[in-house]
Amino acid sequence: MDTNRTKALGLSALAIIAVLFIAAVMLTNTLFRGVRLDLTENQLYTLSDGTRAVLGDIDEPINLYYFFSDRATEDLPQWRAYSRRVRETLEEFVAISRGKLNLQVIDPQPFSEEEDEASRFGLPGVPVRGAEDGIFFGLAATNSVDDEEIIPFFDPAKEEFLEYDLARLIYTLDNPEKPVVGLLSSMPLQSGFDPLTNRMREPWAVSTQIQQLFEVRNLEDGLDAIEEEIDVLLVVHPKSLSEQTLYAIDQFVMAGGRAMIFVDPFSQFEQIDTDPNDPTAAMMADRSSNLATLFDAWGIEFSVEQGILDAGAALQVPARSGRGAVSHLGLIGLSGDSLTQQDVVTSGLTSMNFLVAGYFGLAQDSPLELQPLVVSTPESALAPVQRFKVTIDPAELQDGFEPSGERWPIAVRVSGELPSAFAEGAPAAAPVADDLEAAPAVPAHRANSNGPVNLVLVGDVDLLADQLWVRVQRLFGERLLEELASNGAFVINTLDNLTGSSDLIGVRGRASFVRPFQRVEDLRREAALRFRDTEQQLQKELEETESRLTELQSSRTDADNLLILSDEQREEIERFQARKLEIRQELRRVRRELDKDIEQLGTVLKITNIALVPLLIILFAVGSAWFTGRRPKEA
Amino acid sequence: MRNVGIILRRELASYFSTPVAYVFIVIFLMLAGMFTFYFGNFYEGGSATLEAFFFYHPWLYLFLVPAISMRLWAEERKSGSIELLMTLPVTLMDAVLGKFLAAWLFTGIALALTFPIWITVNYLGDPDNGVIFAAYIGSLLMAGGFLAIGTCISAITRNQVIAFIITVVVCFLFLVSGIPLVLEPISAVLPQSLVDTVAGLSLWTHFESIRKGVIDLRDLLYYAFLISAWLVANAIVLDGNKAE
Repeated sequence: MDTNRTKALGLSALAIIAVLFIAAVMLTNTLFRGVRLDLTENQLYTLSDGTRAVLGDIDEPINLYYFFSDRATEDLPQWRAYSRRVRETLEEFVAISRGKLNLQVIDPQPFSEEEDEASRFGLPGVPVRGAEDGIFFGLAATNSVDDEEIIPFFDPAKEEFLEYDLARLIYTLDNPEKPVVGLLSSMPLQSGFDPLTNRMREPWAVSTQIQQLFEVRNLEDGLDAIEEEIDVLLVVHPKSLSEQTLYAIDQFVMAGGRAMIFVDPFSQFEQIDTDPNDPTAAMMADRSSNLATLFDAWGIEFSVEQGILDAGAALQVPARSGRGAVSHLGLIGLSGDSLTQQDVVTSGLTSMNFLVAGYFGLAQDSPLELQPLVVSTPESALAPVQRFKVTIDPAELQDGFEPSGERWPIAVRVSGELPSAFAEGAPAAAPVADDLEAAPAVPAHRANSNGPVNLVLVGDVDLLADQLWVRVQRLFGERLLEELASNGAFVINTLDNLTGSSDLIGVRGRASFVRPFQRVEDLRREAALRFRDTEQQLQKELEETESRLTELQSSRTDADNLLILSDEQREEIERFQARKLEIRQELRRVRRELDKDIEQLGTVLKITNIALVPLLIILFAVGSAWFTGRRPKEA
Repeated sequence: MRNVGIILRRELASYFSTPVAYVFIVIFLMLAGMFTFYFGNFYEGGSATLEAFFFYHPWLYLFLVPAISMRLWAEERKSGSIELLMTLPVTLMDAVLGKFLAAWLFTGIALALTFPIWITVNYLGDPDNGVIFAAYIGSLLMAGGFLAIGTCISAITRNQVIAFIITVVVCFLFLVSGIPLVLEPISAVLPQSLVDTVAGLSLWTHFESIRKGVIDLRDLLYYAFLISAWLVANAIVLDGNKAE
């Protein structure tokens, strides 16, 4: 074979290899999508089944616009690290959405079109330490009918909910019709006119949150039937409901309807009409609520006679004396194993606050199954509701308190098949006006539940009030909510779960990916402890010297004393000035000492990592060369 | 396969018979450490991850790996020892594979000697060791990719310096085809599918995704294809040389 021919053959073989390589890479990129091993400790790159289900169900394409001020954060590695994490999570979403999600990454630089676009979506430029201008770090998303949802700012403190927030945003866009919640409440949850104060009332935070995610339809006592469109019934503090309404609730549940019901042995936040002639009337008024007619028939036990005292979870309130704080055994903050991790609605919640809660149980012949969601601690006991009515000082609740050792279920999920509480059929209707045609058609009576029912019962109503779980602040006319407990999340989770989108609930709480140098932090803390006294002392001395100096100097400017500054005074001033310098120097030295250990450790580590192993290798090389060089002589 | 083993051992021993191997390892370790601590601000960053360490690996390999690979065939060709090798009862592929594996193992040893940084980060905080393990695997695979390219190019020329330069250029192209600086301008003119193809050929992109702690089958196959393609090309080039 001649050389030219071999060369030509060789070249074509090389070309074929190149083509094969490119084809193979392209093919594997499409064929093996998603076959992978996530070696991260917290499975950071493995989306939960809930998110996968949400992404798998997307019907119409959704556009995601991810805004991050890339250039403006060049010197802010921590923000960049979190932005990378957000971006990777978004890319992960896109990868498993089967082409239904389109992601655009945008860097809105100052005075650019991209910046205008961010503003158009309502994303704010947030000022962060170290950046000259505010940075954009948010997400806007639109669906095929141009509904918009935004996450204004990705807060690193909320990192563990990143996946949930994104999944929820996509779910909301994919299901633009909000689920319908029927609200039957005797509590002032929503905004409205308050006759007591003669002013408009702000809605409770929990109500605002519910309205963001659900369509709320208000129901009034006296209704004949609950509309079919209602996905979940929310009953809050039902007080002396009419038979008709109870029947409507019963039939809603029998028809497979889901409900979340809040009852209470003693509600502090119930509005009681005051009688100026009898001030004790309000105090002794009945502040309880119950659905006894239905509960009794269904085999659910709930006592309005007794409330829970819990020394293991009591929160502190200001003492009546005005000095210090005192434990309020009826005001409890439950966390840890009191909130079951086995149920999607409470898993991942940090804590929930309750005020004089009641407990649930099941009657012996109840056809239902009860799963506690929230239970009191073993250091709890029951107390007659009367005690809460007459007690003015919370400290008194501790008198004679003995923990029962039992954990009382405060919030429960009940499921199972049920008979109707109205075995005889609909109660006799109240006389109705003549216009019978206008009355809605009442569906046929159901004697048994249509499949298993799904109810969530909560033995406290006050947990919904802002005072128990949220701090509301006003900033430039905006209401800012700072959550102190997970009461709101519990309600939203439960409604989410009951309206059927339980996929979302599975997506909660991931461990944080922030991993600080613990040892360096420890060193810093130790040094701060060691030098805190010295530093404070020096700082105090410096302040004293400075104020003494100012005093002396101000006396000098006094017209009378200006010319008659004695030598002693001058010396005094000089002495103070010198002392001031000394203290400042000393202070600087102390501050340097603070970081000394950390810097030393850094130096040792740098040397070890850069030079130690190379040095050992050089020694080894020289040693082995010397050894091999000597060997022949010995031989 | 036995022949591959024999060549591998012979080659590996030859690395350590001269000071060059030691010099290479020392330079690699010192540069890796300096980049991590000074450019990557590993200590000041205060975060218990080895991101700052692995971030510079592609650039370190870009210059150090061609330095290893340049002599693999060029020297044999120049000194004529290649003819001796070809008379031995080994196939061309045995020789190619043996030399490549020896060089890869040698790079692996150099990489393994960076272990103090792994200990350091565990001493300082509580890092995600799964991620670090994955990143080491990714780094080793990337080094393999660079080496495969380098050995093939070393067979093209007798001149080691030329082999070095060409290898750096080719590796550079394979590296930058995945970085945004290159992808953004081409995405303005080419359709997204072609941009993705270009990005999909990049050593960088595939290393990045393993570095996060996720070992994707596509990344593993990419390296397998890349290494195999260049090694087969290497054998073809050597075969062509025989004809000269």
